[in-house]
Amino acid sequence: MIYRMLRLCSFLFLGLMLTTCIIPFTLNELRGVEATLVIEGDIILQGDTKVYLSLSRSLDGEDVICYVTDAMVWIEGESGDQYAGLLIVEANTPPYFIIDSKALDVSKQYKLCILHNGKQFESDFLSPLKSPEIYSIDYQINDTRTTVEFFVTSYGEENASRYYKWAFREDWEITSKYATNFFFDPISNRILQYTADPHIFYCWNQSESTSIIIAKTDHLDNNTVYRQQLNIINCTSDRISHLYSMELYQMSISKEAYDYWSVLKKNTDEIGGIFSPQPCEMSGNIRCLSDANTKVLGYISAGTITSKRVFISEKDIGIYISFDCPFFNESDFNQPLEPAIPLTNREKFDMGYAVVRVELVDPIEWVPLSCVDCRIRGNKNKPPFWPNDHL
Amino acid sequence: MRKLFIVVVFWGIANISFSQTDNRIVLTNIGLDSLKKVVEHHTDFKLFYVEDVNETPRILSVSWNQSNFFANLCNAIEGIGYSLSHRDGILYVLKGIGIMTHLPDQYFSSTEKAQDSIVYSLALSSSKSQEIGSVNKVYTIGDPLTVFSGTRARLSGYIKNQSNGEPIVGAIVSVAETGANVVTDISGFYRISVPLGRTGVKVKELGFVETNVLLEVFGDGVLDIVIKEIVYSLSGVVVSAEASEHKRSTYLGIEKLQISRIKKIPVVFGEADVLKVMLTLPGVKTVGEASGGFNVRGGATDQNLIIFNEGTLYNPTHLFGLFSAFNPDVVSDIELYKSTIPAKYGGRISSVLEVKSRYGNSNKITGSAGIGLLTGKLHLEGPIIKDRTNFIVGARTTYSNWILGLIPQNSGYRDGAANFYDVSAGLNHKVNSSNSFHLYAYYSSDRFSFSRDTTYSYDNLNIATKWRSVLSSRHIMNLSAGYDRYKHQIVETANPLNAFSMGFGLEQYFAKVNFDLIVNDKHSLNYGINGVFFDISPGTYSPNGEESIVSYDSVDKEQGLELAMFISDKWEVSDRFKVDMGIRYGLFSTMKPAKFYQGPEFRLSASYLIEDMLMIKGGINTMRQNIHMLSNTASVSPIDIWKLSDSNIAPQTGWQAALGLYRNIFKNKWELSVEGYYKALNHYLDYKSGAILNMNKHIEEDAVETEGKAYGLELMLKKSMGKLNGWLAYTYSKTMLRESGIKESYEINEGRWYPAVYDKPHDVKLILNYKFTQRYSFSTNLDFSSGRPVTIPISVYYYGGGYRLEYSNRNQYRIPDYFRLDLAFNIEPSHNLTLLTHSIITFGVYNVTGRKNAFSVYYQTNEGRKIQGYMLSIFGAPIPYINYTIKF
Repeated sequence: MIYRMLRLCSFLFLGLMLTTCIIPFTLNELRGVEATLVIEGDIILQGDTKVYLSLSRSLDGEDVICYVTDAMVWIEGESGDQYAGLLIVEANTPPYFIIDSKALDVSKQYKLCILHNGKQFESDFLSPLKSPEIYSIDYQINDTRTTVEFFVTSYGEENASRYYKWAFREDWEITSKYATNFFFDPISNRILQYTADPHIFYCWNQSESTSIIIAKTDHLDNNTVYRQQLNIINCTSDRISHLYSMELYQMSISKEAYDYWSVLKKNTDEIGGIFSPQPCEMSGNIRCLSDANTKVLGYISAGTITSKRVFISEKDIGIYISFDCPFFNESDFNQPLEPAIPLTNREKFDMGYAVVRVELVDPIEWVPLSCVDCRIRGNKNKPPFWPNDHL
Repeated sequence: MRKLFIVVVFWGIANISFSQTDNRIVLTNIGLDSLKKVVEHHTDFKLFYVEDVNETPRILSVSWNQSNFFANLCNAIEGIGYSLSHRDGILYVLKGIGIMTHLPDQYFSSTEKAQDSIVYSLALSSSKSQEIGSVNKVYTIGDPLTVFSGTRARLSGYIKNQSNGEPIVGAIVSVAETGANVVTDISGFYRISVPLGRTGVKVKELGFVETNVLLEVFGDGVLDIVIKEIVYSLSGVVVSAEASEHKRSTYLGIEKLQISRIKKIPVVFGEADVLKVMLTLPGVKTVGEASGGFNVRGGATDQNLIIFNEGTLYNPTHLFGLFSAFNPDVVSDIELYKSTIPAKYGGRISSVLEVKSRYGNSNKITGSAGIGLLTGKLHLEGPIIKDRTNFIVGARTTYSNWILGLIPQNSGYRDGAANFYDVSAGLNHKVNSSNSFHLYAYYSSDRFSFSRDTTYSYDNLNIATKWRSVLSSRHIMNLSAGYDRYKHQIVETANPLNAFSMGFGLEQYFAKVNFDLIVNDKHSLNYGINGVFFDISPGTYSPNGEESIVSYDSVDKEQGLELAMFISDKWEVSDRFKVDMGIRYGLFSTMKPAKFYQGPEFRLSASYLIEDMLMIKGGINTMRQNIHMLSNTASVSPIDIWKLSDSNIAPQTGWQAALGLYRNIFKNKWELSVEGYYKALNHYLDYKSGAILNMNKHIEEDAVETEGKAYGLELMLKKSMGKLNGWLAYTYSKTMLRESGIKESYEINEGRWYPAVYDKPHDVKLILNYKFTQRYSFSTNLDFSSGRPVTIPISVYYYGGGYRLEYSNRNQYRIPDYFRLDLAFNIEPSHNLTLLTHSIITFGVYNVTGRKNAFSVYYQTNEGRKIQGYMLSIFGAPIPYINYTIKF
């Protein structure tokens, strides 16, 4: 909270001086930094533990995440019991190791172990923490009706952990701006009428939380997380154009874990202002047993996860501002060339336009493809839990 | 026509006679115009006069010969209500300035020869010319009829400003014959030993005419000397006094700046700033512009003792360090001790900055008002009881809210408000010739709300009283006591359930007694006791509003008592060799739980005059500090808290050794100085990664005890006189820190040395003033320094659903070098002293080249993908400003 305030200070300066500026900057000395192993994956009781291994890269490196698959991952209990991980490589998702950790005992301590490149890495022994149920997820529209903000409220037990971490998965349904019965067929070079539903009106999109959401209640009378902010959605976002759903996962974490994540968050979000804290190196709770000088990044927690899903439709929020889809007829397509050379339908198709209306009297009207085919903006992966029968 | 007539009359009736031996001139019933002609005809002087057109022309009679020309002319002119001033061969006859030729209060020495003491006040400024000096009166000190035992007599008295009767602090009084010199104290008082017989005493002070007084010394005596401001320049041209700065004491690394100089130096928004101006001195650095703190010779920002009158200031800044919280119209001068710190000061290990306010005009009520881009200010001063009680009061406030209105709508900060003000007041009362009382009060307040939800405020309060008593001509006592307070608070109301206010408060009560004792010609002692009681409320966190479920929390109060005894001896081993030896013994104890610390501090400095223009000085001093500022941000931030040493955190200690060489070159007009230093710090606090310091009940778990070393060389070329004046300074310095102790594992950089955040090895500063005419002057300020160290990301990785940054070792890299050039132009349209008001217009440009100097660099993951480095620069464009001040 304090640091947030301080960040505001720097914004005040931005406004105050009108000359304060932030300009892109690159330091040449930073080239070819050695890659460090990054370990992510909390030990989940009553569920599956997913462990992602990757390597860090230098700042000027290529914008790809280098995942590690040639490793062994397992959970080890205090009594020496081991739970081996299985590498899962699927299309469109990063490779991960999955460990069946349903049988772990909440009263025992566990650690995560990794063997990679002949070096063994281990987390500290962790006592699993039980997460309380999520009480509610609600939202609030701001005064200017430009954003909607989502919040979580939870009531923890008095003697339970007072530190929380959340992550969420979003799914949302979108629709095309217009429904159309016609399409340009490039093979026959003609405009045809659909004979069956092309299923291009309803689509879906998915996303996961990208920011670090943590909270603590150690300074409060009771262990209540009241309306912790989760995300802010802009009124022009597709997410709130039709039907939005969020599944929130909540985990109780230790104070050390909270401190780690809050530094990580600070280093990501709150650096560079006039009164910002100085950024800093961090050490997680994972060590390299084979070589003390080998760095490793990451922090492992252990515990149960509670989750809650909500659906909110556009009608409830009511602030969505749709994008523009202007109609184009023959005259609109006329190039600024003299004499005007009318475009062929094929040319319009190649330029990314689609037929929206064909009437006997009027000329054919076109719109950008994204206005009639929702697959441009989304996909047809309808979630199985979706509460309507749209196809 | 009438003028012509008078001339004719004059030629008709004046009795003029000349001879080789005695050029006696007698003039009867003439006007000023005639006087001008006669003076200019018969002497080498030019005479200018301003006659009040509404009055009937004044008629005067005067006679003179070569030896009493000045005295007689002066008397005659005074007789008609005018005054005579002399400078550079020009005599000015002006109305409305009372030249004091009368004897003011009688001061008697307490010796048995009291009745023999002679008190004089001198009005006329003498010129450098020997002839004029010789026509000045010779003042008799002591009783010629009594045989005085000894070869040297003691002369004491006050140095005052002729125009307003204010005592002049820090003026240099020197005896030509022996080369001895002393500096006037806070009351303008001086004491010096003079040889018997005919001798000359010289008084020098920045901005005043250098005054020579001829004495015939028969015994101890008192002499008040009234010196005169250089009238033609309200802008405060720097005169020779600054050039002698280094010669006046054995101290090294001492910097004194007069407010007139400070007002000239261009600063952002044109607010004359007593703290920012220090950054133009060698050896003083800051992490970045617009940051509140300063670093002296590798010391941290909390290691500077800032004294305003008698009180200690903890955060003397407005708007997060954009301005200093001193009203420049009330301040007289600042003095910074970078190296040798007199034994009477203690409690901080790096430097002492003493800011003194003016005494106030003792002749009449005067004042000034000014407006700039952000602030308006007003000050008033004058006598309450003439020659006994006078006051000075100044206030300054901002109307900067309009700037917040310029913030873009979508920033969300337009609901913000910024407010600050400061008030300083001083009251001086002279009980009798040897006792005076002083009362000082200071308050500054800052308040900001960034949005409707977050309000942030801090304030400083100082109240001090001082009793000064001349116990005997050899013994003076200064007794002061007071109360200082600094507190800050944040109120956050965005979420009614979590609404809170968080506060910090520091209070201290102090009492100081300090004696000056002249033992004999060779030794003068300074001794006394200082006591400070600290009462700190490190943090309170409380619910704000009825809905709030925030539970009240507070960090336990800290209380501590600091006692220090000190004694120092200024020993003039010979005329060329002087030594200042001091010892200070400090005791410190915290209450609940009690923890006791004690230790001696040594202050030693010596100077040796190798030849007239070349002096060498050396010194070593050790320091202790019982209070620490906890700060994890690059610059001093308004929520930094202070903490006393306790059972877990030991007092900071440090020592510095320094050596300096000073040489005047080019006919004494330039001064070249070289100072080198080595400094060591112990028990300095740095912090573990990500430490949160507010409301932290176990600071010791997040703090890391650190040791430091700093060394550097400061070169300075200074020209104090002439149309062109200023200085050029180059500093090379290093400041390194490391986690102290031998440990199994280190928190910071594996226990290796790392540069402090304010470590800027190369540093060039240039200040130049050029005075075209009396009305127009031009100032420039150039600042170059190496970029400061930063901790930056070295690699990127994907974690927690986004790209994260892995940071380097602490302060492993540097931001780009800093360069800035400022220009200012001053216009003083009205110089006529008879006018009721005088105005000064200053305009200038800060950062003329518009260089985007980096304050810090940081990296962001844009939309969770691309990592881009950014550089934040605070004043990344030329900033023009204009200020208008009116004096009345």
